[in-house]
Amino acid sequence: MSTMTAIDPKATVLPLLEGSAWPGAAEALEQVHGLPVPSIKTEAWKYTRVGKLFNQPYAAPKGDANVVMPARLPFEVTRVVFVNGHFRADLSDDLKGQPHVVIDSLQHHLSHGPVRNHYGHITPVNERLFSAMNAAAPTDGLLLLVFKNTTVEKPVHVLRITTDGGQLIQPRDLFLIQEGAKAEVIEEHISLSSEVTSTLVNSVRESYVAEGAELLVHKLQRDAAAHIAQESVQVDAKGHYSISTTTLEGSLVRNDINVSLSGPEAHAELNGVYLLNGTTHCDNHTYIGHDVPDCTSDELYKGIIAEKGTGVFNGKVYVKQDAQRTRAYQSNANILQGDDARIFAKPELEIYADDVKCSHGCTIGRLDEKGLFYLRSRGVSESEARRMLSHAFMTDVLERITNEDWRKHLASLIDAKLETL
Amino acid sequence: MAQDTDDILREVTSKEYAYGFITAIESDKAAKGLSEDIVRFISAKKNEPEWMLEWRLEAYRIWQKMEEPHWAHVHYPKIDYQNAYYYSAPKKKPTLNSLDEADPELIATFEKLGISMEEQKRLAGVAVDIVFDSVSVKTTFQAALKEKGIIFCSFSDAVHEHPELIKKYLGSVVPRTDNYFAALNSAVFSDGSFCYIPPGVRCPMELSTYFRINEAMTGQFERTLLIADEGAYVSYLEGCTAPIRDEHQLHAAVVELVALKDAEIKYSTVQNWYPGDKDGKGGIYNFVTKRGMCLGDRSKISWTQVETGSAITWKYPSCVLKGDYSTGEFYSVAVTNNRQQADTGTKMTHIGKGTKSTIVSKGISAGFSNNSYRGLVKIGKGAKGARNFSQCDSLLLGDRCGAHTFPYIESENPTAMVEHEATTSKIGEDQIFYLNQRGIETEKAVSLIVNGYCKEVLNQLPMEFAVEAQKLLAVSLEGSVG
Repeated sequence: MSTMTAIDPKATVLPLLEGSAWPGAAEALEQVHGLPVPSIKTEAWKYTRVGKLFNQPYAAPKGDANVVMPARLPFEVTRVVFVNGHFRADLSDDLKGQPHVVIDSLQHHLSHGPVRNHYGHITPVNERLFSAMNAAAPTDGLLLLVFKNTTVEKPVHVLRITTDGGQLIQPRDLFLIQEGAKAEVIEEHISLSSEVTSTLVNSVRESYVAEGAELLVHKLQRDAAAHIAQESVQVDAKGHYSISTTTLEGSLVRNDINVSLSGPEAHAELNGVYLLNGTTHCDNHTYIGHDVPDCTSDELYKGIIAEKGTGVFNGKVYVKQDAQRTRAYQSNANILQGDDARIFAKPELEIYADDVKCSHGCTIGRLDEKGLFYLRSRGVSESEARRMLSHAFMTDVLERITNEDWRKHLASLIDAKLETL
Repeated sequence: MAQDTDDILREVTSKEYAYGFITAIESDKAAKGLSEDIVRFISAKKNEPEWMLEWRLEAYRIWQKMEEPHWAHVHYPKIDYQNAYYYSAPKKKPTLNSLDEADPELIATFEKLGISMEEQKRLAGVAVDIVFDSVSVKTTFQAALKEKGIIFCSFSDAVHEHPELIKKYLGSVVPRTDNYFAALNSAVFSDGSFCYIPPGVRCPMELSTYFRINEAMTGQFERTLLIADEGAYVSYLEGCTAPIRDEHQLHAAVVELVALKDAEIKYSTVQNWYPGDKDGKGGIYNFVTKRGMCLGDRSKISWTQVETGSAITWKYPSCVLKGDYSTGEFYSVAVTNNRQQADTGTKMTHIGKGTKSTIVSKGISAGFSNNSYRGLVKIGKGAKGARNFSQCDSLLLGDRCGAHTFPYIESENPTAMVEHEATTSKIGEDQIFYLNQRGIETEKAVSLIVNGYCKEVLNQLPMEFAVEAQKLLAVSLEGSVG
């Protein structure tokens, strides 16, 4: 018998990663070759098996697919559309409406100064395979550049549409919010076919929030593709970064959020909602680095896991030596429904400074039996009572969303999802 | 006032280990290094039967195939397992009936520790099985226990006298394959304690062992096996102090507890191995595997520990809650100072229906030390109505130390309830100010606050031990406490 040479499990994606002209692509590709596919023995991927993502062939994303556009959001936004990761000017709004604000395809600006100075700087390619894969061949993505002291008038609605299965889509965004500027982004992932479960969306976004600037991101995942996402964020002095991640669908979802609070009095707020059923697996992995004194962070993740769903939450707060007067709070609450639902939580604190107030809390349980009984005794049907209590359970995360229009819209989507749990 | 606190903290960090001394007793040593021959030598020294030797050899083979784990949040130079002695026994093994006949040097040693055997005997109903290095020197109160049918003896004696119990339970909770250090211990364990409480018997006194590493460069590999038969109850105390050494010493003990139906075991530890000097030189590596199995329905195992010593502490007293409605508890105070490192916590594995567990962990870090809580709460699919509550608090004294929390929480049953909370902070200046304002000086105020902070755990200790534990806390944080 001939001796078999070991086959690189990444062979299914490698052909799609070659020959990209993006900055640093060659170096990233080299890293892809060297980095192993994470297994359950890799601490950061202990509860999320990604090996199966490499068991199927992938095609390059189709940018010119015909799409039937969904209804617009019921409030004023600037809509930017990406179809299978490719920017579609024909489907997007007029993006040049406001001076001192650049909203455009990142690919068009790769040679420009601000992009060159920031692209790839806070997402290392030598540690995490998926970040290296993305950097080796990004599909395209959004550049949001807001000049000093400018406030973006309307929220930017980034609509990412996946049309078919079997694609490897690698969105790559860069958000640069300069000193004193303000921006709000609503990112929505939707799909137009039930076959998209075999598509892998491997995204990376780098966000820089400069001194006194503010960036709000609302992320809504409601397509059935596999999502591996990396958010790398750097917040300077008195900067404010807030992200809320809502996961309603997805075959395998992994959201890494890595925030570095690098200037005094920087603040980060991370919120999350996950409603999982079917066999959806959702892994929220957050890291907040308190690198300097006087920063604050607040984290709240809540989820309901039904049927054969699996929820994972790993939140780490790291307080560097001398990062005194740090205030960091983290909370994770889960409700399990159904005998096959599972949750794995790992809230971590790693602290090297003494004048700190840090805490985390984590709960796992079911809907309050007494509450159910109370509602039933008042003639509310069981399913209605469950829905009311589930809705109430999600309320405090939703209340943190300051954009009222979006909050209402999201609440209606969440309620619709709760009907199916 | 901040200056005061700084002074106190400086004093705390410069406090030397008070219990460092070497007792010169001749000892009988095996050659350096580890091999099948050494395992055979240890077994032969103890006149062990063939099955015991085979069990050890198998463990040695398993160990050889394993790799030393490095996932804990601790750092230490590579251990050379071939550069240590694996067996050392006091040469003069006295067989004594009263303390008067004991080696006067030994008595003096215990007096220096502040807990003389005389005092121990006076304290109501404490039977002490003293392990001096590796061989049980003295067992007291044997007769009183015998009357109740309780077996409390050295592990070596149990191998000869109760082979059926050893064969049945040894390795049933911590198998040889469990981890690197458990496998090592299984191959070369020198001695330890064995205890069996027959059905329906409530052990009339607190059982206690005093462990002590004495011989330079001797790893100590204790093995403890405790079985509480149906409806039995036992409270077991374990305490450690060790003398100053320059060479790092490895301590890899294994403790196995088995609670059958309706049985209850309370296991309390006060650990004060030599922590090394203030520059991190010397000190014990305490890599211990402790696990209890709630085998029967409605059984209960409770761990209480006060950890003040060791250069490195790496241990997770755990409970496997197999029986329906069984209960596991873990109460811990871990103090680290100077360059000490501790990675400790617990694992609660819920398998049976209606199982309950409680975790209360209090970490105190000072100097340049690092103190981590690492824990696992696992609710299996069949653990219907399981319940867990965990609380892990960390207190930081000084701005060069670290406090970390790494809890793992896993649930696969929708009827289970799990709650975990953790906080990290330093002693509030407002708290100190409040006490100052009422005429309490800063030193006493810090002491009050630390004591209050640990109260929940100290309350779980038997009275005699609580006194000793408070003494140890005071010594570990001298200058700021009591």
